Amino acid sequence: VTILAYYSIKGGVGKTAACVNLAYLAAADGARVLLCDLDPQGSASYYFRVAAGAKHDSRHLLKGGKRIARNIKGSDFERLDLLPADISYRQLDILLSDMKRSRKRLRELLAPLERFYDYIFLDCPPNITLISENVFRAADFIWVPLIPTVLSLHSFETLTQFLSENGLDRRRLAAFFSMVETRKRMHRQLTHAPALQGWRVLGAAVPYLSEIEQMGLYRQPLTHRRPASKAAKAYQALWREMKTVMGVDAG
Amino acid sequence: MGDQRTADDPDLRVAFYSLPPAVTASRLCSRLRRRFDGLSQERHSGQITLFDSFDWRLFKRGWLAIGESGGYRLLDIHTDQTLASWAAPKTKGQPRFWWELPESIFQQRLRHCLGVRALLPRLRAIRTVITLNLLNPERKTVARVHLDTLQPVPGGEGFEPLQQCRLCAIRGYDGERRQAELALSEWGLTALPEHGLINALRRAGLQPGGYSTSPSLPLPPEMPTAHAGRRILSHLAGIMAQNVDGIVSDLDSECLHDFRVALRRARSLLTLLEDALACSDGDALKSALRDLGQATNALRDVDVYLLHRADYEALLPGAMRPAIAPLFAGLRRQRRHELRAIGQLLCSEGFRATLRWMENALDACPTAAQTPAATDPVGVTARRVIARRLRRVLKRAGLSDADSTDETLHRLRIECKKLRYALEFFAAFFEPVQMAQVVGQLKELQDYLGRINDLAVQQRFLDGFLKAIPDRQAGDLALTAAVGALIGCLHLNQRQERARLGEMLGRFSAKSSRRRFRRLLASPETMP
Repeated sequence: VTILAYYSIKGGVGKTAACVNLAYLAAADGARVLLCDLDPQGSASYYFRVAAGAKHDSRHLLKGGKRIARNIKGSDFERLDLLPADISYRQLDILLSDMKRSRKRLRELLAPLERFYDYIFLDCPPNITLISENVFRAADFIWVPLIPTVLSLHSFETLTQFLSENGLDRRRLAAFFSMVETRKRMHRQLTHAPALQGWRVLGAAVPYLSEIEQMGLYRQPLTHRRPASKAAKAYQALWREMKTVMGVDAG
Repeated sequence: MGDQRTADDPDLRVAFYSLPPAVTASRLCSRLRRRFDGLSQERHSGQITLFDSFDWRLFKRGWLAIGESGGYRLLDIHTDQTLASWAAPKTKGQPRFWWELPESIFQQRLRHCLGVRALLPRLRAIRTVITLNLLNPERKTVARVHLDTLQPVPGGEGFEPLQQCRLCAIRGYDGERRQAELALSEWGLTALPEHGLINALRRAGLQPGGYSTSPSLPLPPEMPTAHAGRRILSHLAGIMAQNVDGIVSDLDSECLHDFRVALRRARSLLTLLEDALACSDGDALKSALRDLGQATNALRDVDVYLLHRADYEALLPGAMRPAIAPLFAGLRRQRRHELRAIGQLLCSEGFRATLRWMENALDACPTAAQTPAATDPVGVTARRVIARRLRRVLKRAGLSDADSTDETLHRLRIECKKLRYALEFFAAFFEPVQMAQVVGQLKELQDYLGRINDLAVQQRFLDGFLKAIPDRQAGDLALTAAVGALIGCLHLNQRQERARLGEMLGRFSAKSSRRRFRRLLASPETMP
């Protein structure tokens, strides 16, 4: 299994939209995919119209084992399952801090599921918290969406500094531009910002398009609903490039 | 790839129902609507082609390949899940072997399952699928009911049109699946034991999984040996006959391989049961089979070289690899020539007569049933034959050592083969676990000796090829060097393999190994 985290310190950068659309493309390729919605806002779960079971909460999640397996739901698409988020996930950091091996817990929780899936996608909450540290340790690849704005690049710098200080292998991290508006000069200029030097930045980028925002209305991956649309094509190109980075042939 | 989830997984449960023609999608909808908050409907129609190998490898693995307008899909016939798919470009013809596919999950799965077997179209049909998505209040699909109608393609394989429905569970919504199941069972629909598409294959007169090369028949151990021998011989003739069309039309190289294995087994059977099948016809048949085997040797050898081209190339440094292209071009030409000759042979009256002979002639031999060996119960004969063959293998193994010639080791290998065939013919009379153990230890030795023999044969073949290169012009120099390098590599590999000879022979001749054979032969006869 390959664990892919979609992560950004900053919220509202198109992280969940990318995670949902790319997870769909991975399943459409023939891979067995589990999307774990770790964000208490539950946007990925909302897009797939899936809600956590009444008994599922952050304590259940951290207990792991059958409690997690029982709460996995099939999406409307073949080979794509979802572990939906619950609002109680907002307490995950507090609960984790009281536990032993608090930074490795997520990897341990996912281990029993690994043999059933080819990819596990993690839709992560923003901020740098204990949950984020768990994600960094669990993921084989960390994909960071970046809006070409000063604040977004500043948060990327904060992240890379944190990761360098904590000895993370930088080959596991790659950024890609998201919500890009090429008509804005600043967006064009900041794609070559010094903060990105020394880090892998993917060539494929996701443009700012209203059809991506409309995913909330239709509650389906755009890559499924309108595969020939401009945004869907951008996600397809992004997935192809990610597979190359991961060493998976794009057959 | 991770583990495959199976049909036992309640989240992937799928049930198939046969539907009377009177059941329409709208009637099905109105029945299901009573239990669900919503229902959306999709309809697809088009031609599909069901694929499998000649020996039904996909079916035996629980899979089926489907070709449809969007490309190809690999389907799990127990869960109805698509395991992998490939959107074939429209310009591309139908792929036959896994290596003709682009690298993908679809290719990987076929590679592991099919090996060198070709993917063959088994049934074409027009399929109409009406999918009813059963929705919850969030309009999330919680179960699916597919109404499938299959009709024959004009001019294609004939079968009675059929209408079926599939109820597919979605993980995490088991309650909803049960509701749908209840709605269908209340209607009096009964679940089918297998996937609807497999049902369609049967209706078209095909027998999924029906091909087997196993020589073991469920014979009663008290059956007279001569009678049992004839039954096995006739069964082997059947396997050979099944492969003739595949060889002549060049389906894949395995047809000839299976044909030759059945032929060798038949020859071996005539030797093993020589006393029981004693009659003048037996010797004549043996010699006819030997000639037939020899006639197919060259084609099989060429097949093996061509199938292992990548392995040979891998032995050479990268820069030398293109130089051996003429070797394989020559082999392909030789293959075409050999295939034509074998095609003519297998279509000849002489070959058909040999097959008929195998099936009937020994029955008609008046002396066959008279000898005491012929009337012995086959269960008793089986033990005697295996014990005799084992003694011969152990004797030859005892005479072999690191200095033995390739020829000596080849003879030992032939003895092993005869013992293996004897074990396989009579496997039904023994306890399966004990039998699997002795076959396993024998197979290990056989595989090892096979590798040594192959390496020796390959070196001789390449040596012959070198000598046949007509002149040493500039263009041939690179080829000569590459073939020379290849011979060197094969020689080195053979030396490395031979270094393990003592260990391998010792393992087979060890007390523990002999004890296993003794235990097998002392076990009471089991009824198949």
